[in-house]
Amino acid sequence: MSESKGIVRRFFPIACYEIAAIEEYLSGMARKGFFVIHRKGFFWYFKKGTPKNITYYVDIFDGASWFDTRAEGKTLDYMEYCRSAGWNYIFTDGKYQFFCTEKEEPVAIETDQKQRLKMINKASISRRVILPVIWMVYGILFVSMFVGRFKYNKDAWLDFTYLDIDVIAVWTVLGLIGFMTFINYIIFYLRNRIRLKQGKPFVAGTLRQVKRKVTIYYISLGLVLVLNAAIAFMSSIRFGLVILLIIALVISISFLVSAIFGKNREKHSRSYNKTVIVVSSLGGLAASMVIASLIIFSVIATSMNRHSKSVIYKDKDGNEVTWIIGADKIPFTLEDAGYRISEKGYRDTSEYTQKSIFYTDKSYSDSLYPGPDSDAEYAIYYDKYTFGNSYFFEKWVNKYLSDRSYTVTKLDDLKQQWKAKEVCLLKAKDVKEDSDQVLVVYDRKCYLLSANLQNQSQLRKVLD
Amino acid sequence: MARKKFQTITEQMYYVLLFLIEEGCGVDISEQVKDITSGEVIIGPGTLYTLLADFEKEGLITATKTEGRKKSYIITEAGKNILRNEYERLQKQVEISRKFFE
Repeated sequence: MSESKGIVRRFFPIACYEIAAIEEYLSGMARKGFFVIHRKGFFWYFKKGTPKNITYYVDIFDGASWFDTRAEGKTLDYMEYCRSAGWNYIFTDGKYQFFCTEKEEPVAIETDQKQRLKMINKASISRRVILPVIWMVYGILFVSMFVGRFKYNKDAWLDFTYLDIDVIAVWTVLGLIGFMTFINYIIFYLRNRIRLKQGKPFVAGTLRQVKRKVTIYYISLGLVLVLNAAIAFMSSIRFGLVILLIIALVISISFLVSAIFGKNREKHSRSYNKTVIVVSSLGGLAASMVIASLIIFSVIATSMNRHSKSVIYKDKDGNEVTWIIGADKIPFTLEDAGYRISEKGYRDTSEYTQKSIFYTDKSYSDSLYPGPDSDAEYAIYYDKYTFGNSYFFEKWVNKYLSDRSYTVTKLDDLKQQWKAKEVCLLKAKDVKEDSDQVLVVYDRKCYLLSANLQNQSQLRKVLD
Repeated sequence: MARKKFQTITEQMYYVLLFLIEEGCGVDISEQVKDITSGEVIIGPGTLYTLLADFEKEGLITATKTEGRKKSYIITEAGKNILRNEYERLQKQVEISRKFFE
């Protein structure tokens, strides 16, 4: 609870259809001397005063717009009817109108219960389906992504990274929360529809029940965030920081946009609010995406060439050229692959680490400056996989060797040369371009080399 | 269309139409209905507003004058027909019931 100039702000997250609980909450606050004046999202603003018994009524007026922050047009006519029945208007929040009265047994604003349920449904259903819809879109995207991995190999789960687990965890919890919310609403609606048909009165959850439900939702959401942050940090600290930075950025921009455009919204018309909300939401989203992209690119850029140093030399025309040279910390270089390095050395080297639940994968790339006897540019990309568990290691290696999308050829000469347990050439069946890989197996450690050369003869030259 | 939608009318609808046989201000109807029925029939202001808007849209009542936010209405011929049909239906019910109770 925060206070300023006699105005008290309270956070009370509640679904809009839980009208009875909202009324109960506001009456309870009035008995403590806090009188609601307006709300913004889940924040309710109260004015301090002498405690009173006040009955509140949350009404849904179909003639109002979701963009209304004050009564206008037909709403003013509607309010006149309510005022003449003894209801004092407090504020408007979209289609929701908040009234109060000090009368002991006031006439309800809506005495036709069927009409009241119809209005609640009309105002709530779209909000209730948003989360399940997002869940399904998200699900379709990642299911299509994951299904492709299992197309050729049933053990593709061995490649799942912490990020993959994070995606699945967030999706599952979002789905649970979304569907729980949706099913709760459907139960509320159908139950009341049946009751009204049977001539029984309308029932809605009490404040106590709603508070319990809200607590469960927020614990679940909190767990998702904690889990998300933990998995992101386990995957890679740099990556985790980027994710947290982006989340913080999106929240900050939302607050900023809300603070700039939401100020004194009550004084503006429906059309002004509509324009401001649409423009500021799209603008905020675009700004978040641009800044997030800049952060991601800058992080990727700084993660490159971390083990390299640059040298400046003059080419045959006398121009100064900077080359990135050196791969001292790289464990498996082109030289290890049997290639003779020219005097100008490596052109570019980069390193990237990601963690799976089973292994640590370090990706390296070396790009070689063409030697004096060749105009071809050689490069080699490889991943070093280190396993903590020999069972999963064997399974992972066999996954590659039994993968139906590759033709596997054992390279025994290289096996002896590199003192490895196994060296195999994996030739992709369905890919026309040169995408051959070499699997070099040691104890609980292996290299997957992608000789990104321009043709087969170059690959042989490097590997022979 | 109006006849089909309002083939059977509720008690609240009946009294609203009944009170508009004579020109009347919308906001006053609730109080009048409550008084005349000794509090048996209560029409909330929200319900009344929706009913009047629906009746006007279906041509059962028509607006006569507007003073500020207050609007007056009077029943139309179509509205009278619906009211008369309901009256006759109720009367028939009462006559049949009388044979059992007297």
